[in-house]
Amino acid sequence: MTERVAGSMADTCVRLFGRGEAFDSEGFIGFFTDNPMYQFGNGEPCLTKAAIKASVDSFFGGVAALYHDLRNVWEVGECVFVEMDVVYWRKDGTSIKLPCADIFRFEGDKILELRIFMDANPIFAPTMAVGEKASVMTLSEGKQVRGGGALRKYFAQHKEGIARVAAGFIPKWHIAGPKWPIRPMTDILKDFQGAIASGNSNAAKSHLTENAMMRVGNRKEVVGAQAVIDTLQTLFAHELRPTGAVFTSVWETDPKTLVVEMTVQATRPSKGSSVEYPCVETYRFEGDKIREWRVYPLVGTLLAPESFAVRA
Amino acid sequence: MSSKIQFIKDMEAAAFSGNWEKFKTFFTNDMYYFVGNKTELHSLQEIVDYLIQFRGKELEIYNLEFLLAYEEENTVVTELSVKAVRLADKKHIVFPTVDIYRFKDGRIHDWRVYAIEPTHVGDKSVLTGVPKSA
Repeated sequence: MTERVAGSMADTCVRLFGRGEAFDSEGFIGFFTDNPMYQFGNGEPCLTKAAIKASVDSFFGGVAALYHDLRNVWEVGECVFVEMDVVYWRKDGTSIKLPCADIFRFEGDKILELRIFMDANPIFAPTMAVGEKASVMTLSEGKQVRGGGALRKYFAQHKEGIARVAAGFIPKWHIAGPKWPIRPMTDILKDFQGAIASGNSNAAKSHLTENAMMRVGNRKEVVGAQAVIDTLQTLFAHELRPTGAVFTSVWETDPKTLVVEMTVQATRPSKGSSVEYPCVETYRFEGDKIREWRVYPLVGTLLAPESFAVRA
Repeated sequence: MSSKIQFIKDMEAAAFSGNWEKFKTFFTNDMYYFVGNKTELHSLQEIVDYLIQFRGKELEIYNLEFLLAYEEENTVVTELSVKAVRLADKKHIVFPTVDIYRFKDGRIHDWRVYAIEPTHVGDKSVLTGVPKSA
């Protein structure tokens, strides 16, 4: 048996999945021995690197993006077992999540065998129904466990993943499909808030999508990056200027949504007085930019005179 | 549907139907509750009394549209668009809110309603925060 550091085979699997998510077939086959065995479902096994490349190229050509949502990775001897959901975004904008198990067998540092146990038919046959709970994350009584986001962390935190993104091997889910951010959302938010606090409106604007939406309290939505910046500047100059905030809780409710509960300190420019109030903000991201920003401040200054009337 | 979010919906159903005895079973006795920055309560009976008068005199909520429903081990976060009748002027209104529920021993222990509607928000903050005993 080969001597190796515990976790190194699991790391190799994550790195291989990273090649898959970037649709990098050349990089993908680089992980295999020269006499590999690669089998997807009940498809014909691929017995050469060239055959694997042709197979994955064909697959990548059929979808817009994919993501491996890992639940468990076990190393046993020369093998790695992976339990995960794989999410596929089709080119028509729809998506599907399928349960999957992979078995890897290693020879040295290379992958000798990869068997993928998944029914991939629903990807290309959208009429095939797949239940909401058909997931490796489903527990007894219908409860759900959450994946740890290992592949998103690979691109955001793994030295190799960061370098590959910089070199252009960007996961397709960042630019197509869900357009999840790669950078941690809290880091993007810190940069955005820092730019606002320093009055650098160009830098602040660079963190917003062109069609970014902001809603403060129950006021009307403001749409467009420049309109958001202009609204903030007017608000800070005439109504309320935040001077600090203490975050009490931060939740990443999904890979593109951040919720922050905080206490805000601010001054009222008209009176020169200080105020402190509780606030929740929700941020929705597209790529590494903020697409939607909703502010729930519990302070009268930021309220429209009344809520919007609706028909019964 | 996940268990805690269903728990919240069942609690709301009990409140909407005025079944206050059932409503109480969803909370710890020493719970903390605020709505906007005007209402801050520290006991279960205070909350029931508040909701009874609130539904009778201030807002009659008739529709909740979820923008977000998220749960983790001891927390549920919901982002909602609320439709209601404001009883003072009989207007049908819509307003946004985030509700944050924190759980202890399987029941709601801390419920904060960031309701963005003038009915709930004064011109200055009056909240004192979570009591030290919580």
